[in-house]
Amino acid sequence: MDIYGRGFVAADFFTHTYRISARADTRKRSLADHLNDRLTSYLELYEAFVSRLHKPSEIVASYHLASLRKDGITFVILATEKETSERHIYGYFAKQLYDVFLTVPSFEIKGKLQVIGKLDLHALLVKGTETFISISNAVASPCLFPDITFTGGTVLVNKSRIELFCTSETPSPSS
Amino acid sequence: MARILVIDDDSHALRLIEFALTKAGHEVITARRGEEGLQKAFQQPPDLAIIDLMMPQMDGYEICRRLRQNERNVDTPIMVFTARIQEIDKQTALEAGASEFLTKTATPDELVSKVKDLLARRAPVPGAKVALRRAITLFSLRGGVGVSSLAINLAVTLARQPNQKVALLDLCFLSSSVPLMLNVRPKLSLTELSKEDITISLDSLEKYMVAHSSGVKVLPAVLSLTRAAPIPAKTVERVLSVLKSGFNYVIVDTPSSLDDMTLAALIHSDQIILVLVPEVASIQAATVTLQAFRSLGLSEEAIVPVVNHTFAKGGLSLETIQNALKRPIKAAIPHEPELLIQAINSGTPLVLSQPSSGMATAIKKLASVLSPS
Repeated sequence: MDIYGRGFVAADFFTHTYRISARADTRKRSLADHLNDRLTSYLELYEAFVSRLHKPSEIVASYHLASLRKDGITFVILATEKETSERHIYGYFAKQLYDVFLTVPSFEIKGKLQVIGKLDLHALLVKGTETFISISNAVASPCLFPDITFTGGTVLVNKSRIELFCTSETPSPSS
Repeated sequence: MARILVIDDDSHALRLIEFALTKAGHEVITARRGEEGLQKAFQQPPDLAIIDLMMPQMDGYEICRRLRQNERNVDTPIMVFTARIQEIDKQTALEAGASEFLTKTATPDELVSKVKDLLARRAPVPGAKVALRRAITLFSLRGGVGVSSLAINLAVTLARQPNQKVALLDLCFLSSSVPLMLNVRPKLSLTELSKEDITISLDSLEKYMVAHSSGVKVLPAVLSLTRAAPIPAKTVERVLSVLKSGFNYVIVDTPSSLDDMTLAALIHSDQIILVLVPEVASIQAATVTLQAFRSLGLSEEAIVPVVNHTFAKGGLSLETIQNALKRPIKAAIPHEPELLIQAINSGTPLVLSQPSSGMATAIKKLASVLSPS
């Protein structure tokens, strides 16, 4: 149900201590493209509802307008896959999914990484120009509260916040 | 067509939901703030409430809790409709009293379909047993007529019916015998609760209650008579209202006096079992009690006179009692002192230890009068 109108994307933004549920004004681009735009350091958020990580459903503050430093974001959870960057979808080589496990401050994330052609971690993590990478069917858990899980169609993870990145040697059978 | 209250701070969302539901033939009442929505629900309970979670000032969780604490909205189906998609959000919403959780990724058709399901769930199925939420207070102005014993056995009988959650609220703070008769060892009681500055909710009451093996949850009046103190009427009123929101039956055992605490329980009960024994002093006390109930404006239909035969011979006949009270006696409990004393001494309610006895059968019959199909 598109209740927010065009140009707004509802998402959960996670820093290493907070969960911020808000709408981002992406000006009709995808959120991933907006996050990867190096010309802007901040993300403008509307109707921001803040929860502390140890009680992630309890709303401790809410404001109509907020500004979030992109480099302070650990990861973003989107309800569906359609909000990721369109650029990943097309290519001459077959798409393959790899099971991945990564750690970021306060969280561990499991999911599937879509790769076109052969997986090259160096190219993905070091040479790639994008700041946020997309993990599909992801499950994120705060490492101090592993019983709590956050899931979504897509998780956009800030590459600069990744501490450990593990992947399966071969593509997962579902790819 | 149902009357649906939608509470959402987002005017765009509100319009879209209103459009979808109106198109499906429902009457939609909208509110953009929690307080406004609660006020509308309190004034006239809707058939269903749709509530957003993320709202300024009062979030959706709090609205759910307040609706559930309101006597008129205890059973109102609540659908939480939110952009928050996580399992923890759903869990918290359900704990707060929501009946259904739907994320705003749902299409308008899905929303309408869920609304239809929820309304159908609420509608009584012909022939099915209706889920009741009742507070039943047992009272006698004359002491020693077996009120506590009857309250315990009635609570256990109701708890043995399928899918029935029963709470036993003990208000006898000077002569509490419920824990002893059920052989349970509470760690806290209503007395401690009344002295603490806490918000009374089902969650907070949980630690003051003790579970009996029959499934009955007991909230004792006091742990030790040395700590006994009258419980404020406001506390009783609030506890009763909260218990009703989480239990199908709340059975209240009262002392033999019309003090503020007992009056609060009587006024906020759906049914009152007036216990009497077949002797003149008890009949006189019952007559005075009925006059008091009339002056309090309590419904005549809510009062269920029950005769408990606490002695073997020489008692007044049921006909004489009915003539004196000018109302029919709904149940008569036979005299079986040995079985009753055995049950009290063993800490096992009679309906469990001697299920085929005359007393147990009469109590089961009384339970069926109180919980009609």
